[in-house]
Amino acid sequence: MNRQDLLSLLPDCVLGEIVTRLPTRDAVHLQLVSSRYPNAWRASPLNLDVDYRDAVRVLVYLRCHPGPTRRLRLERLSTSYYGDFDHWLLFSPALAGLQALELQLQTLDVSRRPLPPPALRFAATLVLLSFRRVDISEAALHGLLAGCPALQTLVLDECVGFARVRITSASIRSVAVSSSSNLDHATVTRPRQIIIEDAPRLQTVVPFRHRSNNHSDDDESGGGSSCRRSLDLRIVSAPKLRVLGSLSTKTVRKLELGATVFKVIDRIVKHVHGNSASHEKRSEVRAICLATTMPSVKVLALEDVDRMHINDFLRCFPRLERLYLKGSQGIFRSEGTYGVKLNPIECFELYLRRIVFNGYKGDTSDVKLVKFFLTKARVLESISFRFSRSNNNVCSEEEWIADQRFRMRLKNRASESAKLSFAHDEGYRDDDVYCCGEYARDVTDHIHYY
Amino acid sequence: MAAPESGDGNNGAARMVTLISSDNTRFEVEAAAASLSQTLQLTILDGGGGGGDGIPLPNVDSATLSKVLEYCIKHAPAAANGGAPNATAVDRAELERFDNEFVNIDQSVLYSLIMAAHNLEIEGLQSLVAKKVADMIKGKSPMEIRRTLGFPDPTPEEQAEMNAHMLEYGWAYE
Repeated sequence: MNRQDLLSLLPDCVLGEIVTRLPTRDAVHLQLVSSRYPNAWRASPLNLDVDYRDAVRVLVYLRCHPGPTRRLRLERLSTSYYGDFDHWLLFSPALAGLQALELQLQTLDVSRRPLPPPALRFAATLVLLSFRRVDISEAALHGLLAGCPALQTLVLDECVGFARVRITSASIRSVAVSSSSNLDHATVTRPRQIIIEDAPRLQTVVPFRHRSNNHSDDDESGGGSSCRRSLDLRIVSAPKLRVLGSLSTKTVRKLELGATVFKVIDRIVKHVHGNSASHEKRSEVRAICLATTMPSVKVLALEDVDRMHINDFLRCFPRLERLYLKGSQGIFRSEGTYGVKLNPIECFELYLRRIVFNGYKGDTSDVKLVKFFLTKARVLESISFRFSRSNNNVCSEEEWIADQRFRMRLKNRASESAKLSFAHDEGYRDDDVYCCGEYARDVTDHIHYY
Repeated sequence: MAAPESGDGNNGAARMVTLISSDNTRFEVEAAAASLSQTLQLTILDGGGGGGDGIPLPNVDSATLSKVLEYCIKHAPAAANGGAPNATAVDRAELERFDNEFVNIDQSVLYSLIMAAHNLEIEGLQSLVAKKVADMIKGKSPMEIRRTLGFPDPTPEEQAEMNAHMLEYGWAYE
């Protein structure tokens, strides 16, 4: 006797709830499993992931679906075939009331006309809008955003055609922006400035970059030319902003938070080894003016931060609870007892609970910084160190960890209970975007790699 | 003595209601938790379920009901805050962990839970279990889906139909 299968017992509407959560491919597979499923599929809203290579066949397949569609993601779209979609996007009744639109072009082809009026068709209902490598003019982008009264999540990934985005929205919750990198047409307008003008519900701002594209950046980082690709980010009014980052010299060139200004500054660092001296050009972010503080921010991610200026950030976000650090540089120099007494760091007293070091190396400066946190942060609960396997060839991993713990020993720890934990950093290579841990997931889930 | 206080008469102590499962087990829970169920909410607002007379739930057995209530109790505080906007990220992360753990259960239990969530109209739980089942299906071939969901192996006719379908929608199988 065969036991009853799980889904056959469910009423149609419950089955529909399940089917509508499946990516297109899996929904097609499910058609086969039971004769009931095609009906359930037709009766439930669509959730479409369309890879361009399948697109024509998918379109044929979709003809028998009356809609509506909740989410549509077009992947690896090629501009030369864009026309095929235009018509469908503009007129298909199955797409009426679309809530989430994700468009990803295979490559940026700037000779083509900029993107699409079709997006406007859905403006009234869009909750999520994600563009990758889309060429869109400033006027068109602002027109589109102004027409989206329900928009909560906006991802602009390697998009071009506009120099500035102004965000004024009563509904927006999350914004992620990356600057296009592997594109060297002189004629292309790149985004240079993001202004969050008035966003009363905005919670998450994620400037990011794709790691696969920044090898060239790293080569030329000495010249600070990577700054060319980074953005100015100005936040005028976002009273509910909770999650910010990752801030790095490669993503944000200038950060303005009210009257507070952080800026990337290139400076020459002299290294003296015995008789020989060398010069290194280094980009660092520091506060030019520290006036406005942002008590709403609880989660902050910093990348390549200069250890010397880390206090600037801690002072700017006085209620910070979680700090994610990655690849810090430079030498940490404590401001000494006086500096801290005159100008105490508020988040150390009551708020900062968790620190995560991504790509932890464990050199002297790293350890000094860790000790600084341990002596100052009173309510610290844990520090996690994520290190990559290749870090330490000299001794075994256990020995290395034991050595690190030994070097972090302190008599005067501010918080006795703070735990130190070490773990491999497996996803380290491509987790740039995930710097804020799970806190930015609502937006980082819509950034894609291929 | 058991005069049920009216819904808005709230003086500190949380109001309790009693739910009775199909096998006659009585569960006493806070009204706020039980109100996550759209079905129960109206009855509770009308003052039902308090004192000696419970609300009978003939479609839900005690094992399932205790599981459902575990969910409701966990989610009630967040729901009272109006959901995500006020909840801290820590709370949300904790709820997410709870949810993941919560649906990590046997298929028969999952099935009862789906039906209970549906009957009681608990929105969050409905979408949680639907997502769980969708995740069980994602990325699998039709044969694997059949096995996962406990279908018998296909008959020769069904197999032929599957092959034909594969030819037609080959793109979905690459």
